[in-house]
Amino acid sequence: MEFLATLPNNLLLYVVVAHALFAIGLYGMLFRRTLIGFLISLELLLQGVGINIMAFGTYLVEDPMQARITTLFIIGIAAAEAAVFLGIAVAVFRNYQTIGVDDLSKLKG
Amino acid sequence: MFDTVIHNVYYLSFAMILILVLGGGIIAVTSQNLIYCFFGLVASLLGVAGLYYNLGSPLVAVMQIMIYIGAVCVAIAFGVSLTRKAGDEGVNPPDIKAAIPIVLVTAMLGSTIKGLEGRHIVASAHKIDESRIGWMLLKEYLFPFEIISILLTVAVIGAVTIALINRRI
Repeated sequence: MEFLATLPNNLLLYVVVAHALFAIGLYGMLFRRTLIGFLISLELLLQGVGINIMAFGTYLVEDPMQARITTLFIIGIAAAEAAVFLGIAVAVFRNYQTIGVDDLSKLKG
Repeated sequence: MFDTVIHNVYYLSFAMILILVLGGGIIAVTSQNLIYCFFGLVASLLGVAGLYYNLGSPLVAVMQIMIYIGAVCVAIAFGVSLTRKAGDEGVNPPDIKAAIPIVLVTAMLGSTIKGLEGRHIVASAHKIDESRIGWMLLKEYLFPFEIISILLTVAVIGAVTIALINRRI
């Protein structure tokens, strides 16, 4: 019970949650069938990374500001990456009428 | 008496945040319907914002909600509705490949915990004055800050250009 009471302020919990989110995202990258599903899994991966950076920066460093600024930059770059990814997905859908990753095999040989 | 009630509500909310993060992620990855995936992603992002708040940073939590749920998720919703085709979505059934994330992430977690052994916890998650972020962004982090804005502009213009070109590859 003593351990449970300190759980919301425990570095290890955040690390485990971040890694679990990373594993979920990796699973989605392997088993999703569409490009949009890939994008959703990619966002989950980036969330895992962000939680890790925030947790380490909060508990292991004197000044937590650097971790927060890094997390803000990660959020900004993820927004840019999502925009580019969606543009590519729409372009692929216009040209091939599908975004299923198993059907996009024109360069397969 | 009142104090214990407050504490119980706090722990309950933290458990709900954890359920939101992991449950939303699992729904986002395993659901057959892309719309359910989308809402799972929204739930997971909301839970991550709650985790940031618990780590003592309301600013990053608000930024997470504004940028991810307000911008990225709306863009994903447009992407889903623009590229939907019946019978195209869903997940492949799990097979031996499912061992890859489990093994990889377990190894990562083990090495992380081993690397944490010598480190001491020097701070705790408490609220501090966050107005320093603005000063830091405009002083020592000025160059990355400007580069991010250029990157966002270029990325959005590039995405619109890619999506609007109407020619057969």
